Amino acid sequence: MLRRNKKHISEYEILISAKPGFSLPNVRELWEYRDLLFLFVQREFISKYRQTVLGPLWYIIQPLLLSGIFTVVFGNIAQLPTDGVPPILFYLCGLATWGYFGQSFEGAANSLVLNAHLMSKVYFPRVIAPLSAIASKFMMFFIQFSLFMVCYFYFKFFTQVGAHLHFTNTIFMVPYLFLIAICLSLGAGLLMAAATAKYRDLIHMIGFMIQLWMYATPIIFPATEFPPRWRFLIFINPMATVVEGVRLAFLGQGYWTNKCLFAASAISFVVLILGLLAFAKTEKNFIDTV
Amino acid sequence: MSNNKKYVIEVNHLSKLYDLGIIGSHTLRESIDRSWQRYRNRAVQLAPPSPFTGRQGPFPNSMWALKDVSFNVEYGEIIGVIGRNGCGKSTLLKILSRITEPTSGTALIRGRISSLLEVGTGFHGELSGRENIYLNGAILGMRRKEIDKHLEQIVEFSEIGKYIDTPVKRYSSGMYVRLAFAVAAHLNQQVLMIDEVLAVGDHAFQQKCLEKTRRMAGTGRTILFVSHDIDAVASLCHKCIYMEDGEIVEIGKPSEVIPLYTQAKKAA
Repeated sequence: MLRRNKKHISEYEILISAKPGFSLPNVRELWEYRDLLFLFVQREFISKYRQTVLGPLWYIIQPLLLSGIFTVVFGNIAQLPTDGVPPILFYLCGLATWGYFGQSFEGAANSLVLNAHLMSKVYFPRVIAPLSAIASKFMMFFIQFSLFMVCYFYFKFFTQVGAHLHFTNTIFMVPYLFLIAICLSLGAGLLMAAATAKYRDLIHMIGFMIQLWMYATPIIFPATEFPPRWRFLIFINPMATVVEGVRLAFLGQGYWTNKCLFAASAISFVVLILGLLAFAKTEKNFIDTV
Repeated sequence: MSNNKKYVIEVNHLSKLYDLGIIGSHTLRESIDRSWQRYRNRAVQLAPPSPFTGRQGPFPNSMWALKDVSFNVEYGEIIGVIGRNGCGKSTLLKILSRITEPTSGTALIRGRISSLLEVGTGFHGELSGRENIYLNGAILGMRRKEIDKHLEQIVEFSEIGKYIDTPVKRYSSGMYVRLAFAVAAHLNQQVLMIDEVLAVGDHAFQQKCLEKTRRMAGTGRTILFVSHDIDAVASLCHKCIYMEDGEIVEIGKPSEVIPLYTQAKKAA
């Protein structure tokens, strides 16, 4: 005879069946798994810098090196203008902002394939993986943005050009701009993750895509370089609005219209929804094909 | 579906169709073609399998990994699932633990479920034993607070001792297994699925795991146990499911079902 303990009889029920069609993530379930999200972020952070000598210092070295290269190649050799802002500041601002987006996008896009071994063994809400990939980049952004601020105050108080540098009211829009960047990187990353689960070839495209996307975003050039007639083409990319907005907020130079802001919001939102739908469709059975 | 609250797991006509052709390189065109055909033949695809066609699915290159499987599990039972490789045991567990979706049929599970499908899944080599307990616990569906409560017991059960703050990549495989089982054994989940995990570790630890499994079932937890180890199934399980070619051949007492399996194995 089996002993039955009443307290183990719960009201918690799971119904398993084929669910055709599209669905959005279950927010309540995600909330129940919030600790896992946190631990994934911790895993990513610890595993990346354990056994490295410089550790998170790499976050500072990378953008500094890149800004240096940009200053030489695009500033000095190609002589692209930087709106009268010291080139190194101009690039650092763009790179910190872009860096967060690019890394988030890449992390989210790779999250399904990277965690396939785990997902083939245990159930957890799959979208936790891309979410944690994006959350784990906050730290990097924080460090890189601090670096930008340090350089900013150096230029402001110790150089001649510093007099032109000033914060503008757009600074209040910066949190919203980052919300746009997060939604867009999540949405685009989820779309890419869904696609790579099926077509592995696309993994090799991700790095290339990020690079192309970066050059399409006004990081090494100001958007005002484009003739007004064609400028809207740049702003189809919501990241253009984000980067220009952040630059306007902190450096006092940037192209900013309400139309651009509206378009960026709308496009990011649509991409996010599409990404969530595509991901939900893929996650159900992707383990059968990897 | 019946509303019998007596059962913790109710599996009704569960089937899973695997598309063998889809693995490997598919061109985009083929893929679009397929989706279109799928869409037009949706009714065919989602229809339950016919009992006369064997494992062959409705499309070329498709096969029923699981065919019309139904059974119920009561609270506190330990159910053993036996059968030869490729008989659908693992597919069944994968569906029940929500790793993949069934093609047709339903399964209702009352209570939180967790699976221990392979030892060390979700362990990260660079993290310490302690960090891995938290990570693995969370992957298996535990909250941090719950793990805090059980941390001491887990460490003690795993016999890892002072190495708990060492990165697990320096662990021996035995230590790895012990830690993994220790985490799973202290889950609060009402339903636990175990797939061949006890096949590792030394004999003494295997016995300890079996004993722990038995005790967990004693406290009202329900366990689904997939194994090739007939002795373990015989000594542990209240009930046994024998599967062959994606279908259930027999459900019953281990003493009655296991001989069927051993005979069939001899005959083959």
